[in-house]
Amino acid sequence: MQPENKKIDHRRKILHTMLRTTDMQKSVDFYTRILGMKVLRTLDQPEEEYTLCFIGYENEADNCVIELTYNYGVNHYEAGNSFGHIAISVDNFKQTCEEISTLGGNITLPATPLKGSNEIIAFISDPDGYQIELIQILH
Amino acid sequence: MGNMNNKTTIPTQILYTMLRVSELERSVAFYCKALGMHELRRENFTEGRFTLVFIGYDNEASTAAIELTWNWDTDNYDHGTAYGHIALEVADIYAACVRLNHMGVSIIREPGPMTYPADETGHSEEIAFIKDPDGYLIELIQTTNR
Repeated sequence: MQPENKKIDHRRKILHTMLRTTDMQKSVDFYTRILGMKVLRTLDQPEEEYTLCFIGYENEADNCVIELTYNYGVNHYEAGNSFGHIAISVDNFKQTCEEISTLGGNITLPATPLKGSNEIIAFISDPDGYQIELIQILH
Repeated sequence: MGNMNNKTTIPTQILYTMLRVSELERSVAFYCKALGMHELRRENFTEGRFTLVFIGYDNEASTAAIELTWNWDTDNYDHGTAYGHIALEVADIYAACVRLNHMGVSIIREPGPMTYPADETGHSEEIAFIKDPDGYLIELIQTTNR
């Protein structure tokens, strides 16, 4: 079901998903070097002892991004089991997975076609263990 | 090691964030009625005993969405301390919070500017935090000239 055809209020949008990281440099390296994202902006708040890094494929004005939060000196978090993953789209699945592997990315579920659908999916994990789903929609 | 710089292999878009929910229709009602999203599509997996609902402000080709996963046999999850929140842009977070409060939504951080401005811009974003029915935090950020 698609949303009704009505005037879309472009000021309503999902801006970012925030994930806490235990090592900002490692995370930034993963999302940029392995997943091809760009650092869009960083914000350091020494009085509150945290640093933020907004990272994504395009500018924040038009696209959803990821906010990485590093709390000074915190090197462990409890993963829990409620948060699932962030999904990103891929145009050339086989090549992307091969390249991610070559670059040292940890593929936790290799390319798997979804039964009854036109999607192929794979899962990789980021340095903190967050799951990232790669999806290719076959046309 | 090289960089992911071959245009055909770079992933292109963040599609959605997946959250597991205890009661599907309660969550769908919250994201639609309280936050103005639309149910974009729903998939039931009888053999796997779970349902997926994709929910958002516009169609998935245009903008990121949220994937709600309801595992039929699980009604309790542990949030841990790692995952943070999803942030939504809102034209007027003050009015939004008044409305959400009337609807019984839990406001964790009342709307107002951030305590400290960003060094880079000198600006304090105006934000609020609410909780969804499963206790996930949602940040509301006042629209600015982005």
